[in-house]
Amino acid sequence: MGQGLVNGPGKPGTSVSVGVPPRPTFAELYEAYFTFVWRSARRLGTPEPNLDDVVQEIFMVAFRRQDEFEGRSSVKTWLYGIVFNVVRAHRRELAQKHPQALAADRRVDPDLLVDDTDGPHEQASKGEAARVLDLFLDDLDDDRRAVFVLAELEQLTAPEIAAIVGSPLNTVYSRLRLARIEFAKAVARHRARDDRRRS
Amino acid sequence: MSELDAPERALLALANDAHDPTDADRARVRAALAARLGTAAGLGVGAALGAAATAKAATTGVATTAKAVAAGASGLGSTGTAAAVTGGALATKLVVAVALTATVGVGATVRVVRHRSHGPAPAAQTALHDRRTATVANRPLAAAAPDRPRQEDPAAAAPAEQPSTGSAPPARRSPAAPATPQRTAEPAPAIEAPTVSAPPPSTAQTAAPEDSAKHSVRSDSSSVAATVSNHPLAPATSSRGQACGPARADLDGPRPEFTVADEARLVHDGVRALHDGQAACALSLLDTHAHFYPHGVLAEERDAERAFALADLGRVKEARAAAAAFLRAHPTSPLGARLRQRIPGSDAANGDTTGGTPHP
Repeated sequence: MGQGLVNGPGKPGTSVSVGVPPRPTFAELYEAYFTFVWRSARRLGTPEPNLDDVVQEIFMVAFRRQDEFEGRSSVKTWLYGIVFNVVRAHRRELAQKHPQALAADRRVDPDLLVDDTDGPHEQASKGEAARVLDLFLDDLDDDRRAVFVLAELEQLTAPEIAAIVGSPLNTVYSRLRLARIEFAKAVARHRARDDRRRS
Repeated sequence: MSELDAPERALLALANDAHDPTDADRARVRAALAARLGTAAGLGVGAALGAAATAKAATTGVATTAKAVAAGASGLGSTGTAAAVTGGALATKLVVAVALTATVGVGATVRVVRHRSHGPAPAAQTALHDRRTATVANRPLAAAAPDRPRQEDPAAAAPAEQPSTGSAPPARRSPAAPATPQRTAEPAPAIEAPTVSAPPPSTAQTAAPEDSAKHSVRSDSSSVAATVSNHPLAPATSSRGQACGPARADLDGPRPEFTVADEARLVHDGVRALHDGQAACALSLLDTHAHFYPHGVLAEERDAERAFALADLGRVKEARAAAAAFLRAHPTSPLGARLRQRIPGSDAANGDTTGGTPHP
């Protein structure tokens, strides 16, 4: 199998979704998409202590399957399919074998979410925003979480999401709509806590 | 479909890069992948180790010994020492213990042991540790000497010529797992393997290749190393019909705790065996995968490769049935085209044995 994906000197990070896609080597793939894979694995619900292992497994699967990539979708979409499946399998294993590992990842005190240093919500620190997002994602079920992350954070289209998660398009829209409603509620709760703290 | 309002979008924008990895994360995972994949991935083991050791020295408190990096890069003829890396970004403590023992072409051992300051349950920690120990041992010479021909890599060598240190069966992580047939009488109760337990270099260098594996067993009391060295792959030969997967008793053992890495490795080794002409061995490994991970991440790939293995063994009826089942279960799989090409009649199979012989 070798380095596979080696039909050209593909430039890392370039768009690969149109025309003849550049085919990076595995090393280039790693460099170009490591951040994406890491971030996506975390957002899809991999507990932080397990991130190293899961990201390794994602790239191991990508290495094994790189010859299957035929340019019909972007590298990012292809890779995200692997991320989605590996993370889902990992979470299932954890839920079955070590549910406490998943539970521990959810332990966030909402009161700690308020940054009382300055400013309104829109000026809240990145850390605070990240904690709000983490809490929200942790409370979402896996299906809605995946759709929300893919749509709102990774900016993928609904058809792309449907292909990745293996669900009908209408299901994707439905999950996204419900997830957005939940997110709006979560942000509203956070703002209410923030206002209460400051009043 | 409702859209997000401005406050929600503002929060998402703020949190957009909250989950991005650090350079230390990137270097650490790269080093681990390089160790697992060897030279095939083009990640550069020596460079990766160096990168892992130096990338974030200022911010993450990396401490590494030059001796360990040199051992990782040059490989042969060195007895391992340790590189300790402490990463602060994720509050994890990474301890890399690299033990390289050079023999004449075989018998090298690479160990990676990592502990985390926080993580899953102790059982999971043990599983993670075990997996790394065995995983890196799978690619000893690829990691130690990237320029060496692949034939000298025990993991890539023909099983009939050298004991393979390929995929350890999941049962290796279970202390209660049945012992493999070649297991020595050496007690192996410890999960935490000793960092360096190899024979003296002078002994190893004078030992015959077939003795090297024995040394690696006798000198190492860890259950992991013993199990890997005695993996049922080891005695596999090229004779048709001889299996190289775990014995049936092993399949009855407890299911592994953490499985994704082993799952990928089982399929990987199965495919490699298939490519090496060891169809029986491949089938055994793939069947093992099917036993432990019937709905695993690589189940689709396993099912396709299993059909290929059956075809290579000349078991036309079963190959066609397996291919047909695969095509029914995965009608849109990109592997379907390969199956149809190599196993004619897959689409209409279902027990039909009158068609042509599968293509090799």
